[in-house]
Amino acid sequence: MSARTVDAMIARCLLEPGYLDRLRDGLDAELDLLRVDDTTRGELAGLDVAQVRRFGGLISKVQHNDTWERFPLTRALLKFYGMELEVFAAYRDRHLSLLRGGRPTREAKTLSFLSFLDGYLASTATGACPGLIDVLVHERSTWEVAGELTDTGPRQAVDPAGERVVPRDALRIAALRYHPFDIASCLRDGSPAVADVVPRPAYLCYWGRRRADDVAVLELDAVTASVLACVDGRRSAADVVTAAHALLPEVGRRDLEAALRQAVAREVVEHVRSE
Amino acid sequence: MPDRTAPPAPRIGIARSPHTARFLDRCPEAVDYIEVPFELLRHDPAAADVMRTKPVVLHCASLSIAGSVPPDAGLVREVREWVDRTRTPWLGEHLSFITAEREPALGPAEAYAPGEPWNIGYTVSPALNLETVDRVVASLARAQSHFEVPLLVENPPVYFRMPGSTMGQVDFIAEVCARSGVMLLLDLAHFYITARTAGFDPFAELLRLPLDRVVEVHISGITAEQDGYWDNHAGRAPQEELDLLAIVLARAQVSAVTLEYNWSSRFPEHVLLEEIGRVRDVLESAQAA
Repeated sequence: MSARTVDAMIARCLLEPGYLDRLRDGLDAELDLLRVDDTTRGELAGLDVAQVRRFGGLISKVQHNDTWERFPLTRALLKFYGMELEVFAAYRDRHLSLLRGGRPTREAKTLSFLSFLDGYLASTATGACPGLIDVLVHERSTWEVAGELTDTGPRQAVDPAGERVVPRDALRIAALRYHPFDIASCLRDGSPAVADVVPRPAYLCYWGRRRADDVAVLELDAVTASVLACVDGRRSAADVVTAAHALLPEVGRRDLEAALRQAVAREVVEHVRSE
Repeated sequence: MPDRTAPPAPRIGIARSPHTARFLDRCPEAVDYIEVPFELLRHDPAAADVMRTKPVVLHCASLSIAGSVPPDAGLVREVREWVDRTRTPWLGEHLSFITAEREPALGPAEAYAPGEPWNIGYTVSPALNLETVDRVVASLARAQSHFEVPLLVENPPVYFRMPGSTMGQVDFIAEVCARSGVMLLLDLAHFYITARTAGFDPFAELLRLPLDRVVEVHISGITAEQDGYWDNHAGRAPQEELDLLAIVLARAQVSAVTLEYNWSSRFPEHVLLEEIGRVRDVLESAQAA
């Protein structure tokens, strides 16, 4: 049999995941399409397609070594749950598409993979990997808020009687089932402890402060979290309260208004004049 | 610097990572040399700055020694330039392929980079048979003619049986060595992974390798995942690797042992020092014996 044909076959499997999937789903039918002798066909029929797919995942995983600095918990949990190769094998097609557009920046690579991982975890049964989505949301929010701090657009005029409420300077709110600090603590103590981590719902605010050049993580109550989650930079104070009331109808508007006032007092958000 | 003419006391090196300069500032005596990949130097020549503090051993994954597509002349020229600039005592290269020809027999592929060979971007262990041995021997002769320093070939990890394989990796390597005279870079993580994939006893099989050809040894971590064993430069080497290292040292005049812990930006410095200490202990035991 021709070694060239085998090399080409493996290269194509690793560079064209759709082809690999077709081999996995119907090896015989796909081999019937090849113009190769019976010996070669017989050899190719013995290919461990699943293992080649995992190898493709390993390649993509290694090519993301430079993206993990800001996502240590996410990576540690993917590894703890034995999901790294499967996740990267599933991501490989999108990764290759990104590479074909030219050498991506680290930020572009990170964003592409995180977006994929979000969707992957949302569409996969993740009950067997508690805390994974939570640490992903936590680390992604921190990373995105930090990235927004580098965007130095002109500040709008602050007006206590202004109509719009805007974040100061960057804000994300997350409602989490597992507290990421608990996961981090378990991982520090030794990964087996992660298996015993219990849910501890938390509302976290990722507050990027340009002056301090940092991202503070604040624990919020449900009322404040709902109010801040409705601050989108376009809504007036009244609209923020109305939107928060829709999220938490059991809470009165007065309490929601108080939570917003408190956030303004803490300088997490501010009023600005409408343009 | 690892010197083939020096007495046989293996030197210890580490693979370069973004934190190597800081590590060397803090622990200048911890290692004797730094392994730097050609592919990094090609994109980031500043990576060669480490030469100011330590000798460099150049590593390469681009020559596709076991492939059917020879590297283009420009790439070989670049490798040679870095061989000269780094004054590396040898050039380590994978006994693998990284590129493959488009094969019409496989039918139409996705229309990307039409007309160009497939470029996998990662080294792949070839089909282990006599046809590949022929190909490797020819490639090595061609490649070696471009370099003033010896070319070492590194055993790749085998993650799946390559169609067309008719021999085991140890027999394949032995045949390549016998016919080409090439020296070896023995990656013990790769060797262990291959043993687990192929189902052989690494300790018994190691003794069948032409260990007298081993010049450099690689040590790194291994991950067990999805019913397989995988290369992992972000974790500690298992004890089996160090036991294999002791066997190699008892039978070979190894010049250098490189710890490859360069995949994680958060690989703790104290762990790296512990790993260096583990290897140093094995080397000292071998010297004492």
